[in-house]
Amino acid sequence: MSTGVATAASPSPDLFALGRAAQAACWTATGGRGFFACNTFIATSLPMLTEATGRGLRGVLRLSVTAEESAQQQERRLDQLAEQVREGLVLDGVVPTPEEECLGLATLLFVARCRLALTGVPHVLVDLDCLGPKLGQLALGFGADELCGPIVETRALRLGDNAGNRAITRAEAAQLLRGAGLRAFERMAGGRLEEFAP
Amino acid sequence: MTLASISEKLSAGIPLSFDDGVALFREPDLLKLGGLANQMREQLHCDRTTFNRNLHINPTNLCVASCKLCSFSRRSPEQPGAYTLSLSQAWDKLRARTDSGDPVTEVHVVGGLNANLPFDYYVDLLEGLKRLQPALHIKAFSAVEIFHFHKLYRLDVREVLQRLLAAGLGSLPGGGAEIFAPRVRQRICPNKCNADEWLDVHRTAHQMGLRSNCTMLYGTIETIEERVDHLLRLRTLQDETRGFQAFIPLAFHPDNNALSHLPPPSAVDDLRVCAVSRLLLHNIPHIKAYWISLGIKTAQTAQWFGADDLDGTVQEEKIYHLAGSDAPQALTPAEIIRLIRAAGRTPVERDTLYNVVAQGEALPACALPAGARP
Repeated sequence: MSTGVATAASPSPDLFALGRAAQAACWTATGGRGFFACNTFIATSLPMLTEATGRGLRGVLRLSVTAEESAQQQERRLDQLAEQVREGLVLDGVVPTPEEECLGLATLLFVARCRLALTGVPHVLVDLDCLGPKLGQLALGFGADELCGPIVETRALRLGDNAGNRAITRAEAAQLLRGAGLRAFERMAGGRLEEFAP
Repeated sequence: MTLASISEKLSAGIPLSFDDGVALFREPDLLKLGGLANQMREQLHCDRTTFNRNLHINPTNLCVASCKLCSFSRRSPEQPGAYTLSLSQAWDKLRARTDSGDPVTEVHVVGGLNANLPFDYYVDLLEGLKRLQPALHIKAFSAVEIFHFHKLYRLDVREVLQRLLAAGLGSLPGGGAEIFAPRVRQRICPNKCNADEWLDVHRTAHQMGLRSNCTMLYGTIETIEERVDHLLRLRTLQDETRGFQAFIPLAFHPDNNALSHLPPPSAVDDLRVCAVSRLLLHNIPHIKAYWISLGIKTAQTAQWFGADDLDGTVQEEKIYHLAGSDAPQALTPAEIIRLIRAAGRTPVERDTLYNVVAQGEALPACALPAGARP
């Protein structure tokens, strides 16, 4: 897979072209729907993923990204994973996860590359615990379609000891999805999807 | 009103109208909007992003205003966390920075509307800072504080500014504008000066040859129309005086204040405000992505959505951190340079008045080489 943009040789990546391509691919895959779930099991390795799907769990894999990896290296890694999916690996979603000092733009570009490279993987998830709600929502404009992480029914006001609590409520998750132009669906037990009423 | 017709207006150099501004805020395609703002940003500043070396000093958090949006202020000295720095404590903050071998070119001084301090406290504060570092630029006191001095000490705004200028004031920061619409102001900051008074302080300062910045606090209860009205009022004053250097969109933070039931503005909103302000405020040279307010990651991304400045190294910011900002308390110049280069932009160190201080190889080394990928 080569997106033709944002390579290591290019200090000014065409952020907008890559973002638009990934967003279009996301809309094709999801029909403009965005998802969130209060509990998502995320495998951190392929053996763990295989074991999880073997036990009937949803197959979601964490994919790390560091600032040191070049665009070409990322694309090669994603191509290999896409090939494994074509060969039968059960993978319903990936969670791009920045490590060390990986900054906002690098994360968004990796989210977009995941969407464009992994055409056989239906979902690109955003881990709100890692990205926070702000960058998480931005990622929805770069090919991600699902929020996971600390999503709760109710949260006390952010006062005193609770200031800095990163959890968001189900309604706030739905609002983040709608703010990014997606229809909000909650992933319920057993994989059932329910549209979250505004 | 379409993005295409707005783009044509921009190409023809026609200022955007109120309706254009509303249409831009309602534009669903953030990337298209960002692309348009980025075009204008690159026409004005190419790929440069500026920053400076600065230090924040908040002399007091005692404040008579009781704004609902604020997490910083205290009503009385008995309240937990209330403080007023002695002059030597305030000066020591600058001395510590100079002694650390990491001197600043600017001190940014803002604080609460304290009713118990004499005017001489502020004059002495500035004079002392200047004594410590004569070449220092002091950017001090928002228009709200200047107006408070005018009321409390019964001095004309012009006289307040003259006395502070004589003590070393170099320019005014842009805070306290919040949202100009009386409906919103009445509800979130009823005791602050009103929009006309805020604008008059800046007008007077500009007439006296001072430069200043301007801001808009977004994400509380304002409507899109009220945001556009605010931006256009700033643009109108800029047409008259040409005194604003930078516009700084300030994201509302809800922690520890009377509006903590509101969610913080989303990143999409952050970038949208940044992009729309770049497009509407064609006559204000710089749009600042204030990383303390936006967070480092969103601020870095904002360099592609109209912003051309990342503010400074800051150190010891209190106002946003008490409201829940999870940005660090300070960044080193090398860290800011890294943020800028990692976004594919070219860092330029500036002074407060946007004169170039250092660029290219004169800048400190950082981990990420120039031209490396974001």
